[in-house]
Amino acid sequence: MQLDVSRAAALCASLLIVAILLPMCGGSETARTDQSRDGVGRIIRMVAHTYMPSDDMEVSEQNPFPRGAIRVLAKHWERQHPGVRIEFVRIPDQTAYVSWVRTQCTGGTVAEIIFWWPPGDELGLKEWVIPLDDYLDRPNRYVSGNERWRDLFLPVCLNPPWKARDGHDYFVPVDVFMTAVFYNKDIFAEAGIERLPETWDEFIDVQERIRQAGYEPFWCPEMRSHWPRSLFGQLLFDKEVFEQLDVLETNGRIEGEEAIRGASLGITGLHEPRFREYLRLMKEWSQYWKGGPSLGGSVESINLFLLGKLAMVWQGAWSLSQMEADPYVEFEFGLFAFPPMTKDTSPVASGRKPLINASPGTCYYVTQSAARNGLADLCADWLMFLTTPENCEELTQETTAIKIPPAVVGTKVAAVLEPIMTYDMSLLEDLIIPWGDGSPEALDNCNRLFELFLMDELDFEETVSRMEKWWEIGIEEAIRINQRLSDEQGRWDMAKW
Amino acid sequence: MGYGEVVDAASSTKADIVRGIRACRFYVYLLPTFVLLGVFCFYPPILGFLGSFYEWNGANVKIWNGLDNFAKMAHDKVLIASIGNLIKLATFTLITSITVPLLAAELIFNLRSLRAKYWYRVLLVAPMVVPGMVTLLLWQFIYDPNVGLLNAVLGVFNVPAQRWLNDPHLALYCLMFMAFPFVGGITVLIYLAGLNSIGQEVFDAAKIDGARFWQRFFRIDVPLVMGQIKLLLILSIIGVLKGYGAQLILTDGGPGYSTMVPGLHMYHQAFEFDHLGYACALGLALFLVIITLTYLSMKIRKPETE
Repeated sequence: MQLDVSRAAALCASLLIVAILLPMCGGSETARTDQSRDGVGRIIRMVAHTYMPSDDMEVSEQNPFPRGAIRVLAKHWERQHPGVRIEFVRIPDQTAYVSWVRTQCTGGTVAEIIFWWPPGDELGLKEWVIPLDDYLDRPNRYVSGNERWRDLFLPVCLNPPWKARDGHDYFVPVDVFMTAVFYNKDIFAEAGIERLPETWDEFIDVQERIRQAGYEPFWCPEMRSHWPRSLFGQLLFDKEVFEQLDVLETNGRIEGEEAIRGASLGITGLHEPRFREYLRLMKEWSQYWKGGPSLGGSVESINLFLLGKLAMVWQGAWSLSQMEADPYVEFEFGLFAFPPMTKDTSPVASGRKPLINASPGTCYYVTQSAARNGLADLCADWLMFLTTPENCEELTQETTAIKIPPAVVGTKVAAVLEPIMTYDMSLLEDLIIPWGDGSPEALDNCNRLFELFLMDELDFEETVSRMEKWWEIGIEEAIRINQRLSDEQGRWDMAKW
Repeated sequence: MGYGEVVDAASSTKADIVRGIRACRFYVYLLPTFVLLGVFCFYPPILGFLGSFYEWNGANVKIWNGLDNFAKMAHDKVLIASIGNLIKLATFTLITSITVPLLAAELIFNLRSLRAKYWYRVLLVAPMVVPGMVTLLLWQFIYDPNVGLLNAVLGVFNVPAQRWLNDPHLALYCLMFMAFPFVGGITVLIYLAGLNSIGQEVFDAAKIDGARFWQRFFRIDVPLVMGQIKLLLILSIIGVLKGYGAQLILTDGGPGYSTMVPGLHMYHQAFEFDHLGYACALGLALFLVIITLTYLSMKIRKPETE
């Protein structure tokens, strides 16, 4: 018996050793790539994500939006770079992508170019990706006359708000996420609306005329989120307020500490006329929402638009082609950008054409694998090739696929996207109206009180007074929690406020 | 003491030890059950009880604050609003969950056909296999202000569409009405079991005395199923006080605070606002209220069958 146990243990140990040694005999990923560098071909592996080429280019119910442009572009680029091949990596599972990338980066086997969300603080901090500042400051050799590659991109994509905390640029954007108002052209025509609204007052007037024509004017399923606060942040707040807030780390975005500082110093708050205007204007607007002034609404609002029962819906521009391909859509629809607000509407209007929720969309990062294998320059070159206006058009406006607003200036877009590309893309500050900053409880209660105000259950003064209390509670809690942090570096130095 | 007695005493001691060891075996078999019960059923409430005396965020902050969490309840406007809602909800639920199933049970009990009785019982129990979540989502669709069934039916009669769950004046009543037709399968079966246990001779005697249906119902049936009524009363109190599933899924306590209940408030405090200490205190308070109401229910006059 004793002998058997020993034998079994010996067998297990042997298997373990074999299991450890076998992969070593196969050689590592690095070794394989190094070999290929010295040999015939070098491979750049790329996680193309949104632009991953489809296996089958035939449009069908199962394959409604096939993509192939990036494959064609890769062939062109490869012809100019003999011996180098672009290989598109299929990710195993969309939902596990984050874990997959982290695992691959930790193991040093990650593809040379990957997709990730901006600004890539985590990847940069762990040195899993390389800074691209130097490349972005060089000319893109595929665009004649270009002096700095970074100048090719819309300012909203590659500027301070999207720089990593260490000040580096780690990604190259290909497209932009933004939202737009989708409208039913047939209902507009029936209501006698001949042109799109150019001011907020006209926008409200359009909704009134639609209602009079017997249709529900407007809805957005994200009314409970930060979307309306972002919209009115642009409509009511000018750069001056932003600059008063963005002071501790002047990076083009309002960090948590800066928001709390602003609120506790009274720069933001319900005493401020712009916040009061926000409440008033939202209440006025809410009269035209489908289902009345409620932040909840119907789960089926989008379907109502698709069925032609709702005149306008505020959605992400990325929904465009899904709507185009929807079999229930029997009307013509278009997109437009929210118009600016003038002083006629509100004395505190900023007059800016709002650019709401705009952020870099598909962003590509060059990883340490590329640097280690001497492929970083080639990766950057391939990304330069992809981001010429012509190639970006091929990529983002592919006939069979979903049309996406491009990140490269001068890229021609599909006709349906043209009205929203008139947004002020130079706008860098995305000021979301502060709202019970500091604690989730304060935020939740401010939302509830705001909803009751919209429904006429609370009057203006009571709403403001109760919200102010929650506002104070939120600030106090945020400071209290922060000052108790065990990590001293994370504690705010309130003396600097 | 003779040799024989010594031997007997020794063998008796030995037998006791063997018996003891055998008995121990059975205690050891029971041990995993009690360990698991302790870990999963008793330890969390004890932890909750202790947690209610701390300012605790569930992670790195745990500071003793004595009775502050309980004092906070007195000024918590959301809690006060939620108690108002709970009283309305509990009153309606208790009335409907006690009375309607009893009437349904009486109807089935008085059927002459045994086959019909059987099928009605089956029909009452069959919906219980539908997961609660499905029922909630079904009601969400019924109440949808745009494409919901209820507004569509009202539209046929030219009644204007309502916002139902989005209307602060209607939302709570919508939640109450979701139990329609208020005849939970189990409750009817419990009542039926009670009615079946009443001896036939009692009904015969009532018949001879000329008792009509309602006289029999109030003077014989109700007193003799008081045990079942008490049981259902206690179960309903516990269910309604600690329940917040429908609110969580359908309204999140809104619009505003119109459907907020203490259970949901406790859930928000614990898992959305990271105020675990306060949530523990709310949980403890709920527990005490439930225990008190259960005790008072037990004090209702003893049923005739006990």
